Amino acid sequence: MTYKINGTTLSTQPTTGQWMPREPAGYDGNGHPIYPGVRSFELNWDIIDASSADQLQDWYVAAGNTGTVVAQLPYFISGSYTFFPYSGCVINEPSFGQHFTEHYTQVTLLLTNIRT
Amino acid sequence: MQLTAAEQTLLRTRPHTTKLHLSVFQPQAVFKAQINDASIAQGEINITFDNVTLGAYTDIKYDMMMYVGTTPGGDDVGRIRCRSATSTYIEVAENGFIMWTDDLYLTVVNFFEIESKYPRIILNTGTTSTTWYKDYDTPYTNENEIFGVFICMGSHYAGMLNESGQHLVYYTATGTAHAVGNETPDEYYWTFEGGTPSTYTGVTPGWVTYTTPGHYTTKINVSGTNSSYDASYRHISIYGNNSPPVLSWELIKLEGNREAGGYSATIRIRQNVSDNFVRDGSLVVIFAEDWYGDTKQSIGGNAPNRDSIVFVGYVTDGTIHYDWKDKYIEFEVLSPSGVMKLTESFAVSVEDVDDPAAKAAAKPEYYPSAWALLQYMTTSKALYHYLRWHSTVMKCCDVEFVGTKQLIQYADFDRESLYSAIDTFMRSTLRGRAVCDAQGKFWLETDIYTESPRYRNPFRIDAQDYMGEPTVEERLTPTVSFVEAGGIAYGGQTATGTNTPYMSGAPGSSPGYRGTIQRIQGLALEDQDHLNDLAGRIYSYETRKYPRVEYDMVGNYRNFDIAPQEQFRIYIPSDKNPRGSAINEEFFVEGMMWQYDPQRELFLPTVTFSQIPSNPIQGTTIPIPPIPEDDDGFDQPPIEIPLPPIPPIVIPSIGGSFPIFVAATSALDVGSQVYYPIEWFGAKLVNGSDYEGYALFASPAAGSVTITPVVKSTSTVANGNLRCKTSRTSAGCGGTLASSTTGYQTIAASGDSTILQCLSQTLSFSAVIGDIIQAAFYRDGNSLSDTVEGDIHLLGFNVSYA
Repeated sequence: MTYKINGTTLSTQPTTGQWMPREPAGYDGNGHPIYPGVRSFELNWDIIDASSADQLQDWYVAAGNTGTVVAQLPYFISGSYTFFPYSGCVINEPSFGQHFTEHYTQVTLLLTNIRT
Repeated sequence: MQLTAAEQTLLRTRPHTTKLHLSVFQPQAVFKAQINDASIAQGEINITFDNVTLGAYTDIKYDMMMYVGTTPGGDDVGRIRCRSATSTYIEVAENGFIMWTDDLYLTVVNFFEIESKYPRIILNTGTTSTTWYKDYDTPYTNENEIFGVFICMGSHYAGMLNESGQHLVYYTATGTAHAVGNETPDEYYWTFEGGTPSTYTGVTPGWVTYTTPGHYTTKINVSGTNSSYDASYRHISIYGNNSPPVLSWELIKLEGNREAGGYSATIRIRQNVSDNFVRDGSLVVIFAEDWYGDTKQSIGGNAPNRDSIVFVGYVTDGTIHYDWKDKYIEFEVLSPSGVMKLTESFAVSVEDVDDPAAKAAAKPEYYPSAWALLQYMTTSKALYHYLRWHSTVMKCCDVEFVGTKQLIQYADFDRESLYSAIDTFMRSTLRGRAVCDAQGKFWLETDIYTESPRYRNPFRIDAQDYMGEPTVEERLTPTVSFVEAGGIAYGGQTATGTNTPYMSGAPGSSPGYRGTIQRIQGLALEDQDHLNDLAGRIYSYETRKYPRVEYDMVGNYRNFDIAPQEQFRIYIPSDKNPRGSAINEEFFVEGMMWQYDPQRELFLPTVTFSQIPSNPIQGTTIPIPPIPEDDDGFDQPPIEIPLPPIPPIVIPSIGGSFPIFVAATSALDVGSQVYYPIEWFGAKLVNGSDYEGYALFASPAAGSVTITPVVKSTSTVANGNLRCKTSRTSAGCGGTLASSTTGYQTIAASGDSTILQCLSQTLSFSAVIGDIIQAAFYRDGNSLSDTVEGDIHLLGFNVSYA
């Protein structure tokens, strides 16, 4: 079970991954929250090497104006821990923290508009 | 739009997800050339060309747009509508704003924009008569006797090929209606550029398949049983994976309301696009992919099976803005009604007759052209005439008239703009409006509150449909105190032909205590009852308790639109209304405002409703005073004014010396027998000559009358004597003249011109009341005894009675 983007395994698997909590757009007249229909998933790395960082950045640039990729992620809430390829995900530009020796720390990649 | 039960269930399935896509129609060029006329001037309409690089002149169709530019395909010089073409020149619409010069590039595209068509009136040489044309050179034949249809064929469209490489577009002409009440459309002929099938005959072609990305034009020709003929065009954009629509863009704003007559949007494109990708007048279609829960389906829009079309509009001239720093293009898009507001038009007036051509021929002094006369005119015919012959509106969007085809005798369309002409006519004649829905269809409707329930939509908004709490505006003080409405019930040419005015007032004979008076006139009516009902409904609407109720909806509720008007029952329980009272009333959609969050794929509207009064009052008849029979104004009613009693005239008795003065009236040169009028001091009696001065008066009393001459020297001379006599001649009416004289006397006189002298020469005689007395004073100036060396003036006579 590995994280993939466009069918390619991430050269460095994330340290952590998380389905981000959705902020409700509001509450209806009965007080029920109105959630958007799409979700976000955040991948975090404590430290990765330069080539892995470059791989993340390349996926973002390659997405271009369409901005969508197929991301294989942990299935959103299932009875077992399995992965599923979600299509039409919007890949945001990865963020990088401080350099440590020849590595990048605190790397985050956010995938949005995921239909689960 | 009315939802099926399944659609309603789906609409309430959460979450709602919407991906919006932006399409900018790229018209295909059909003809390219350059101007070939070194002497071409401003205002030219026949554009001679050469250097044809694309197509043939036969590819140019009536009403296609032509771009004029300094570069191939450019429109920097202008754009103009084509009317016809020959092998050597293109005939364009009348113009004055294009600076034609030789070698400019001409690009005719398969694209139809909303444009005006100007009338033209020319003075016939050597006469005072005129010849009228429409669209510069279309003479009248029978156009105002044969009326066509308001075409409905669906909105402009955009969509994407599916995984199978196909996209299906649904077509139907349902809703197409004849402008004449008892006529029906006869034949429908469709042409589907880029589609399969490529043609169809009939009302509903159904699904047409597109397999190749591109920008296409669909045409429909509709003929009527009365030999009418109309055509309309819709533009279709099909996208695929390798030719996607605009991907990097933002919807800054999308909102619309009935008062504005349609929608407006502000769009920003952030991706690199080619030059002229977005032009003034470009057609914009926003279309959607929608999910309700896990079901991918679009719900909304008025055009059948066009649910994915969110908004259709045109780029507003002059709003394309390039931000080089942040690298985006921003522009404004308006519904067709918004484009019409920016389009100049001419005032048009038409009158109802039975035979336009014959009437104009028989009475050219009254009817200068049959173009100004409509046969058996109704409201719908007048609207059709204006739109058909003065604009290209019906070629570019669906038009539907929802109202009574009321007989009218006159129709006036004002000059402000294409939109104002139509909207003002609807408001003043039918109490209606011209409003575009989100898909660009033009609805000409009477206001919903003017009739018994129409288009009652069973959809009931409840707490699961909106966020938070509704905003309720409650009016406690009316803003209108009285509505005075008036109009004409016209019997037409074929019926009684009568013209009956009616007036009505609401809320009745006594106005409200707060608010203004609203006067409405010019309505087309059936009878007094119709007007009373209408006046009452208008008053009830203007004083409605809930002018605005606003909901922020929880999802993509595109089943609501500002047109056509539909009646919704809104129930707000007391605990949801901050005012604490329950609301259970009928409302219609007044406005909509959309917010799009592309990251969360949320497309949420705020819908504004306005109340429809449930129990409108009835107006009351205002009697109209009778019209005076002649043209001189109102006849004064006979008014007996008794004469005041004439008081008796009491003539005081004149006793003793009670002089009155009678002024001299003329002088006579006795020698030449020439009469002279008085000078400013009196009758001049010249020195050294015989002169006589006269005074004339009526005797105011009976008794002995004594007259004494009053004289004055004209210039100061030495004192001396006057040789003179005073005489009189008098008589009563019908009486015999009597006369007497003093005889010549020598009277001492002063030569001082500052002294007024009553001479010591008097004449007494008897008179009765009313005797006419001529008094005379003779100066014997030739006598040596007359020693006053100067002229004297006879001022008049002192007259006394005893």
